[in-house]
Amino acid sequence: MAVADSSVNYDVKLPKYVESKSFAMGLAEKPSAAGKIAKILDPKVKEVKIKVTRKNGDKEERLPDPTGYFLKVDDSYMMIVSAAGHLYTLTQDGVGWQYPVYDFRWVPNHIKSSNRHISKNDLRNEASIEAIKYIAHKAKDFIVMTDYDEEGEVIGGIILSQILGDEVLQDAKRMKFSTITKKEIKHSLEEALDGNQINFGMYNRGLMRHYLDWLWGINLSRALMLSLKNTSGQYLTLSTGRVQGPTLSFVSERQLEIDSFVPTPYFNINLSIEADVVWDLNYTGGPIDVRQDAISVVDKTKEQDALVAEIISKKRKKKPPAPFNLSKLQDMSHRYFKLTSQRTLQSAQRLYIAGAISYPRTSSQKYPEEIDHNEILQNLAKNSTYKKIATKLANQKNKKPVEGKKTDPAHPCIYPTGTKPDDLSGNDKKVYDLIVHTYFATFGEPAVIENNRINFDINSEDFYISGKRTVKPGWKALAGDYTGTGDKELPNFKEGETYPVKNVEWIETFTRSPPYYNDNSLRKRMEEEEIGTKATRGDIIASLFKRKYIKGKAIEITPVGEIVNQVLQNYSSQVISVQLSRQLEKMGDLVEESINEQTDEFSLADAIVQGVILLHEMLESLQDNEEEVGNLISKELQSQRRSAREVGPCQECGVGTLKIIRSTTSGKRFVGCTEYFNDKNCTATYPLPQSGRLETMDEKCKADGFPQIQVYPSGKRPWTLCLFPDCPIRAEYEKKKKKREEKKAKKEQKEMEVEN
Amino acid sequence: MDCIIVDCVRSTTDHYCMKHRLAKENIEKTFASWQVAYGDDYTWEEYLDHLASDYEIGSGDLVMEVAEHLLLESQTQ
Repeated sequence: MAVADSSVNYDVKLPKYVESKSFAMGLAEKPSAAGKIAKILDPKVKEVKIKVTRKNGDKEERLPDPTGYFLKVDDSYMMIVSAAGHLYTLTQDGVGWQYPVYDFRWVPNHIKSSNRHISKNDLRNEASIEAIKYIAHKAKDFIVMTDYDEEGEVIGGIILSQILGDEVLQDAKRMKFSTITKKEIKHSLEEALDGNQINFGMYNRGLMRHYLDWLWGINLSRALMLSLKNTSGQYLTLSTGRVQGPTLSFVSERQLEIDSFVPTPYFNINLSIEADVVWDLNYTGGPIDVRQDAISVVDKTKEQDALVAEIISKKRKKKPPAPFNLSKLQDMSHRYFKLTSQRTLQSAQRLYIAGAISYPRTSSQKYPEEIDHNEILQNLAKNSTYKKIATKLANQKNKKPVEGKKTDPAHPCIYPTGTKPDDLSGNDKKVYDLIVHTYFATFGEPAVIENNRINFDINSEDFYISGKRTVKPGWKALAGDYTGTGDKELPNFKEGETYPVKNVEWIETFTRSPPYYNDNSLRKRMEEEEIGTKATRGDIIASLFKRKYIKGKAIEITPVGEIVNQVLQNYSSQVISVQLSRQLEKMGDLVEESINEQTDEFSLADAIVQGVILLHEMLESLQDNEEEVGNLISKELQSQRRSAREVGPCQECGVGTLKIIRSTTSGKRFVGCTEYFNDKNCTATYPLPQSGRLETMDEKCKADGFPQIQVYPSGKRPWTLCLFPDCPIRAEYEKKKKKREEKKAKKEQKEMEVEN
Repeated sequence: MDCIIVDCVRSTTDHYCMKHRLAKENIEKTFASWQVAYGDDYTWEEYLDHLASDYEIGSGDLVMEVAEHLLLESQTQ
């Protein structure tokens, strides 16, 4: 189903016991959430396989069965169906691959997707929409039960308005919950039935984001691609977006800082004294800028005694951590487990659907007013891992957890519900443990830390050692392994004592460039600059990876990413400016406020008009400079394609460069030395696999130092090829492969013998 | 015209493209700190040689390229 076709119709069948009843339709965001909510509302719920058949003339095709849940709440029946995230998407209204494009409409996802390939997801999407359509037309009432946030409002609101028209949204009821627990789901249903509506402020803000992101993405991407095509006839997929542009520019700026960094020398004094054990002391004057000064300090302190001049102890209180919001959870999860922002959110989302934690996409550091900590702690105490601490806290009288300052209008902080999640493993287990222990820690007393410092006088030069000791653990005793840095105890020195200097030397050191961003620090930068939302930042970084604009754990910009950033910087710098992205976020705030306060001061239409005006200016600038833009991209591409074929220096002649070459006679590709073309000075060649995409690598083979190539076979895992024919790693791999094949052959033979 | 640095095809109206110019400016700015560190006898050529060939000290890639170019330039003068 590539395009909407009026000759197509659908036959949807529900079991008779459903058809015969009058029911309300519940719309959940995901199948897993639908099942969980349904089971909470009615433990005797019936799982319904909805049969959807597409009819096109004589042709009939049964689509994958969407699952619904038929249940009874009090005396009323309800059919809960689910989306699978967004079922509808925006597309260009009209035809033609040009820009600017300002007309768009919502269409089902499966209609927009490529007409050459229909995926299983397309078929599921098609079936879900038809099932929901059929059920919606039979339902007497509608209850939106998607996640209560901007995205959830858009998912639920768009499905209903596309199927039944915008008017239905005013009558639709809205369940608003932060945990998928019995208590909260039942309560939110009662409130929905009492008249809780869709949050139209949030809904319109979400629509604004969708519309502007679509307009930005399609127009700017086309502007880039058409500049290249119209100038040089070349094609390359290039794209950018409202938040992607500035985020990519952060990576590019950092890369430039690193690449243009000039280190400065400075000198450290390494000095140790001999007590019961050897202690390294720090020079109080810090790093020394002048080499001669460092030499003087060494000369002055060599073979001297270190006098314990002063012992200073200061106690300070360290407050317990505030409860998690998403940003802090992602931060800590990266710190303790090295998880990316996206992975942490994915785990937290699964824990939320399982009912184990509250809704994770929140900025709040505050617990909900109605929270029953005793109940949560008692339930957590049923889990052997948390029994000891949870029981202790449950029995503690007058407990009052600390809270942070940040709030969120839609959800409280992230906390465990007490519901024991089933068989957690991998990242989910780690993230859950972190959330539970941080929850415990919020009930703790401040920890008392003693900071200690011992000052030494060595022939009138000042040195020191410092350490810290936890005097009273307080919340640290509740926080499991998540207590930050550990103690560093100092020796029991007394003022006036002396110890001989064992060793002293000066060390030349150089200042370091700023570090590359990693996933966490890049997300934090986005947060500081107020671009993107708490829910989307991780996804935006992931999409930059997916588009191959950035690479590596220490994030580097790729050549294609650099082209996009360079072009936008030169010809449409607003696209990558943080101010513009921030301005659009503020427009979203205005739309939301205007609707919530019913002032009509700034409507969704106003926001779109303003957004289009801004976009139009940027597109004009790109259009006016189309030739320059095209030439710049083309030139960068040429240079990068050239360097992309270069594998590294030739190991055989030491003069030429190894390059990926395609034979003009056989058409086969191989690696050869450029010196071959210089009177056949070097004939070194190395074979290459003939299928799959190849990418040269900076990293040399660990075993033999030869250049390596990354091979991307279609549909299979990428692998690394070392060019050295006798590479020990390669030999080891071949050995293992042979062993595996022998084992497989033996197994097959055995099976055949059994069959015979 | 193209940037003066070997293999750099970025266009420029000056000798250096924007990126290499930035690296050159940083090299020039930082020389004073190196002279403070090693004394007045420390020469510009020694400095460039350090930046261009000592991988351990952590010069940026653009800095190494410009330093190498400036070193060649000063040797041919």
